[in-house]
Amino acid sequence: CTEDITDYNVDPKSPTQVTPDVTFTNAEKNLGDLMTEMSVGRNLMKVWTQHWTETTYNDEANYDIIGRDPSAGFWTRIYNNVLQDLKSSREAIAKDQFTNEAVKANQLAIIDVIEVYAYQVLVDLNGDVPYSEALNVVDNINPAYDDAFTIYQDLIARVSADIETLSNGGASWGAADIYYGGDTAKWAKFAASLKLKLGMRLADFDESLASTTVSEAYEAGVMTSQDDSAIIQYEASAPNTNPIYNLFELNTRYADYVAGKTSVDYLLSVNDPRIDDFFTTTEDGEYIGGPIGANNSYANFSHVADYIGFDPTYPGSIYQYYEVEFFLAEAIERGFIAGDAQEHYEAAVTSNILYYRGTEEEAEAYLAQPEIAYDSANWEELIGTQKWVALFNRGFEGWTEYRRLDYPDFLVNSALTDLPVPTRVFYPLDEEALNGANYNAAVQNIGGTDDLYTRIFWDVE
Amino acid sequence: TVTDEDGLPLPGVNVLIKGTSTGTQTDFDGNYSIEAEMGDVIVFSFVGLETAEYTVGNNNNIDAVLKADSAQLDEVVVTALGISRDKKSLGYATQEVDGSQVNTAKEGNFVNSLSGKISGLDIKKSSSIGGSTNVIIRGYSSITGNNQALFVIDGVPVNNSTFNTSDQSTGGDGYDYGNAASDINPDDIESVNVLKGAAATALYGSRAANGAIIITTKDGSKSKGLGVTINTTVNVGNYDPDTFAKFQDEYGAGYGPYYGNGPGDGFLSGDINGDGDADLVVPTTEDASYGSRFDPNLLVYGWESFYPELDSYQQPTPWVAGENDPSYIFQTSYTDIENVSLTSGGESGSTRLSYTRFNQTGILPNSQISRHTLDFSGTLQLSDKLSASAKAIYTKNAGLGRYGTGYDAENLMTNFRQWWAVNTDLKAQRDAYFATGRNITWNPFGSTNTAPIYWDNPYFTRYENYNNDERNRLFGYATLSYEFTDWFDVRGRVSVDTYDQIREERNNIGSVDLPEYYRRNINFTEYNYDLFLNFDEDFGNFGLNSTLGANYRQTKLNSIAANTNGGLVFEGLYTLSNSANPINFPNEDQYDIRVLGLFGTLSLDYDDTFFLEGSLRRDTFSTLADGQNSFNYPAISSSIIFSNLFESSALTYGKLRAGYGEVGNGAAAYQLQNTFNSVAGFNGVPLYSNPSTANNPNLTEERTSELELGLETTWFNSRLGFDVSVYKKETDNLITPVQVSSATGFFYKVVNSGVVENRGLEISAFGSPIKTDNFEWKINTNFSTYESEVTELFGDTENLLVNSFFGVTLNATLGEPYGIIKGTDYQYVNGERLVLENGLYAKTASRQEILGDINPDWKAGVQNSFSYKNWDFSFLIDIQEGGSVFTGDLYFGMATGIYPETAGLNDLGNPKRNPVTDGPDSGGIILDGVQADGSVNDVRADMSTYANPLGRYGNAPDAQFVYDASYVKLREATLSYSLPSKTVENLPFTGVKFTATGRNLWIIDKDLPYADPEDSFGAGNVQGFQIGAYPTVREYGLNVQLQF
Repeated sequence: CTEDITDYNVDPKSPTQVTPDVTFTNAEKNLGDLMTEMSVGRNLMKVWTQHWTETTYNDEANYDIIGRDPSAGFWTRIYNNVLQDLKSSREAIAKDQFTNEAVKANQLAIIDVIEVYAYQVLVDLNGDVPYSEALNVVDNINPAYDDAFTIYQDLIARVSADIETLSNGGASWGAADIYYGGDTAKWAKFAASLKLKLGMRLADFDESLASTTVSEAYEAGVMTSQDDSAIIQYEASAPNTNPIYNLFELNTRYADYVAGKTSVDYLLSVNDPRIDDFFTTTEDGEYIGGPIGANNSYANFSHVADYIGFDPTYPGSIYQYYEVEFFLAEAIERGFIAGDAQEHYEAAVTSNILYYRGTEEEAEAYLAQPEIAYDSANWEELIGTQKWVALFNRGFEGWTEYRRLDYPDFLVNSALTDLPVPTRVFYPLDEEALNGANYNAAVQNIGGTDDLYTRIFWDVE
Repeated sequence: TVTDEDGLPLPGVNVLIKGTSTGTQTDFDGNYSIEAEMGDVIVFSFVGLETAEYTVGNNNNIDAVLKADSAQLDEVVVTALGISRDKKSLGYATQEVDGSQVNTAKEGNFVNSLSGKISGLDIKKSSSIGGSTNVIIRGYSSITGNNQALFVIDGVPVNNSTFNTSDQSTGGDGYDYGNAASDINPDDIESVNVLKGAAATALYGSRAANGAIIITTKDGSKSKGLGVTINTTVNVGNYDPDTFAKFQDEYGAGYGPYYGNGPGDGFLSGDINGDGDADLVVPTTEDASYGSRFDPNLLVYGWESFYPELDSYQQPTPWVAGENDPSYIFQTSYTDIENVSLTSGGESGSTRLSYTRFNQTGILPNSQISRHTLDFSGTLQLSDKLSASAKAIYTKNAGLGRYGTGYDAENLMTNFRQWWAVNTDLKAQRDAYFATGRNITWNPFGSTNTAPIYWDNPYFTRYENYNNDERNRLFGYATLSYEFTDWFDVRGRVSVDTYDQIREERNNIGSVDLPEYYRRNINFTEYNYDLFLNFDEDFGNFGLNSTLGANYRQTKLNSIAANTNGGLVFEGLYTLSNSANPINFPNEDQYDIRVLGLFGTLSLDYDDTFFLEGSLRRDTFSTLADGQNSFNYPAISSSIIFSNLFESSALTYGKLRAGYGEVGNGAAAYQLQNTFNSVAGFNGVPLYSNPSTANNPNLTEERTSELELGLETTWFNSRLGFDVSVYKKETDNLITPVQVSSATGFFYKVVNSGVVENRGLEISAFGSPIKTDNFEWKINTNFSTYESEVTELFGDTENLLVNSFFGVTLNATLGEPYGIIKGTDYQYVNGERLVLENGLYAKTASRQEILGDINPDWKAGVQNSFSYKNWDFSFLIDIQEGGSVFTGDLYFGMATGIYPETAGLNDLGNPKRNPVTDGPDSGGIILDGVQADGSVNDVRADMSTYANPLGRYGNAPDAQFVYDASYVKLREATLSYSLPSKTVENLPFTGVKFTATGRNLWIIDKDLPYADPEDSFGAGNVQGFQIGAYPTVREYGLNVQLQF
């Protein structure tokens, strides 16, 4: 038989090659979903910031995450659904013979910026992670973990180069870019703001590198208005609806969560105008938060506001302008850049109040209160606490900045186990079995224990 | 009268006048009558006995005596590729059962009837109606690949796919649509022969690595003239209470005392009746029974008071346990099977036409399986040398309301066994659904929002969220044979197995799950083209037999699946266009796999005593890379009939055999190259993603090699016999998607990985302790045991994760058998379980502790048959010793306080659920074990909330939910009575037989509480896990067989 029967082994229904844009968009979508969602198996940090807490199934609120292994969820989303797809886009760009080289350079720079963002999340989550040897399934299924600070340094170098490229302007992804519609000027600001964030994370660990990085980022031009924020605009119909809507409405799990007592009590204590934008009232018209980690009956407490939980089109956030303003206020206080810290602090709080359906008047009244009004002598607590409030629906960033700034100082231990808020998430449970030697080396390098209370290198006590 | 050597009458003996087509059969008493002339020679023949010839003389009455065939030498069995062989010549184990073993006490899936009847065969059935059956021969040899035995009808392989979703087969949501081999109609089965080892199946090359079940169907060849058989069976079934949950009746809905109102802090507060005062409201959101203690004098407002449609709206009810617990839902199942078959035989050919209607309703409401089978087979002697035969089986198989399986809202067993409020009266739920047609659930959010929170009204689930499916299948072949000379013939065969299937699933508006309509259309076709050249010649004492042949196989699948998106527009309208949002891309699957096989066999025998056989098959696969896609599968076997070498009055027959064979498995379609998956577009932008599994262009085939030895003996004129086999098989280069660190960008990478070794022993024995003129007692027993070991895994990998349920895992671990259950274990001090200062067990930090092994230590079946005159009685005891099963039902159900163990009194005579105190009024329980200092534990563990030590939330180690899967079952009993021939003579029949049957009658012994350790998710490699297990159905039946 001379016919080559292996010709039948070509899948007629799935492509082996795709254009660069389709996997790029998928990566953006997945990263946006990850940063927006509440998921017990992944980004559960809305519970750890104590803005939300749980009702009956309250493992996460008590920092018991062994059953649902959130790092595995993060890794899957980031390595598989973001970075691997971006890698495919890179490969497709390399094969693309028709697109102008300048456009390709912009496309590659934007891919690179998203990769930097994604790796920062992984490092901030776990510490050392596979980086230089990651994403090479053909040749290396046991990728080594890179030192977390080394990764940070490389990320800063990469994003610096990307800022250069993107500053040249010109076209990039067009409509395939669902964050900025291919606007390279906005991407340049995003990249600079990302560099700012990388620098600020290092503030307590390596002041000189932090200072240079932050000032360079500021010089390059960070976000200057709400219009510069990186958001993902969800659609009215599944599967492109807001992940919280998916959880609450499509999966009907809304009764698993109530407002956290820590958050509600603080907002009440400072007459925060955002309380009705964050939470509903109980049947008695009151704002009551559930004790953190306790068994809470859904009916007895306030819940997340309907427009956040039940609107399929509510946008998700990747990076918001108000975060930049908080960083700038802090950078001035730390002497990394020059300027008026109070101005940036107030801009940060105001823009957040406006973002949450508030008014300028509300913001002014709020900032006029003595316990909120800016006081340079107490910048750590003010910025830390107000940033925590502002990052209400931004679990990962809220938890991470809380770890770094150590404010607010009133987050409580869990009700059932009396454990404090974790400072880290242990590696995916399968890693020890799948990539043992490298895993063990990484655990040694981060301090010898793979648990929830080892600190990320920048989280200096 | 025709009798055997012992003078017992022989029914069914063929009686033929030599050289004519005139013939008949003896009746049940061995009597016959035939018109013959003086000088005619009458031939009496019967399988297993020597043929006798008598010449007609003056006597009108010829009594024939048929001798036992000297040592059963002529027993013919059907082996691989449909080749018939003398059993004596085989150097490998086969075990045959007669068709009556599968078509007397019938099951919907005939394979289930083999349980306990064949050594080395492990059958695990799903108790779900129409569910699939896991059929494993000689242990698991593949870790993630297919382990199911190959099914073959008359030499032609039958597709046995389930196409169940991977979610379903691993304990997630879904339905078990059954395995396609269940289309095989038991009424049409003549015999079943199981080929166990590689030496037996090597001629199937790449597709029989897991053994083969060879089915020979009935044909018309035994019939002389027209024969009509009518067979009617009616079975009724009910659930076995030993295999279902029992419920405590002391405490109602809640997770613990934290709702703020009423006695025990177990009620919410609200004004339900509108009188302005706060009422006690049942926390209906809670799908657990850890609430307030029942008190008939306490009036409370539960779900009954929330729905304006109900008479009980705004009315309080006494706080008591539901009058009807969940077992109320089980109804009697009915099965009726009607079969009519017509046979006709003669010199020039024979035909058989059979129609069977099978209809079964299940123990859950709105469940039904029906099957129509039309089976035609015919042979035609076209000339002295040319003959043809053909078969066509048309099957229409339809299912309605198959049971939801696994951890899912559509599986009521997950609901009842794990998440239930025992204050619910299931009859009240039923009445509420039938009165309103609405989802009035016991588990609503509350009095104002009465939508379901976790669980629907169980009757709504059954009647509104149901599935249906239909499979139309044609299986058939045509064979043409030409006999060139008496030692050389050629046979060609074309066969097809094709079906179309539609599966539809739905969730109506108002369900806890998103309203949805899902449909999948599957079109499957397999063609086989075979050519055989057969040589058969004797040279003096030497005999030579050889077959050369070729097989070309084409397997095609075409499937499309789509579902609605974001809900439905109109209630009860199940069509894709009723989607609330535009639907996402349908999922299309298509493959076309080709395999070309060339094969040859050579058998030599000397003096009917020494046998040697060799075979070689070469397969070329379309699914492996060109140039490295052809592989050879050799086999060699030998047997010696040592009883021919000496005279012995005791030993009737003795044979020693040895065989070695290699079989393999090619890759599945498209495993060499990655492809991208289409994802629903976002804001009009198309999306594609990388797959989760990285394919591998360097794959090669996987291979099983197996050595077996056997000894067959029969004694005392075949009153006693043994067949013993030992084997060692090794499967290596397993094509396995191994889990990799997700930092590689993928979850899995397909590699050739791992070696699994199985060593086993099988014994089948029969005996006939009593045999008199009128009475015989026969015993048939089977015993098998094996040890499996994973001796190699990919690279440095030491463990492959096969399945995980809330962190309890099924694994292939280096140096351990396939199918190790791992999780957290107890901590031990001096061999005693360590109890912490809070009275709870200390568990290991690691979840990698070995808790069990799904492989049984041994399995055995013992069948006793008694016949007395026209009466036959037999019963089968089926035994499994060892093996482990993890129960997700107790894992959660003990936490939610459903089971009696969670309530009642403790050692002090106080309610267990009372608070733990230092005094004599303390609640709580003392767990068996020791404190850290080694002293016997006397600390009471708190039992007042769902975090009690008996369930998953109370620090219980996973080991607490792993049970011994041993059982002893009365699997089957049948009693039959044939009308005496004298009575029949006056009726228009040639035979009348009544049979009463029972299946799954009694679980005599088991360790696993509240469930049948045998129940599984269905066919697949994930066994030993129960999540939402279905109770076993005991079936009682009556069968009437009429022959004309």
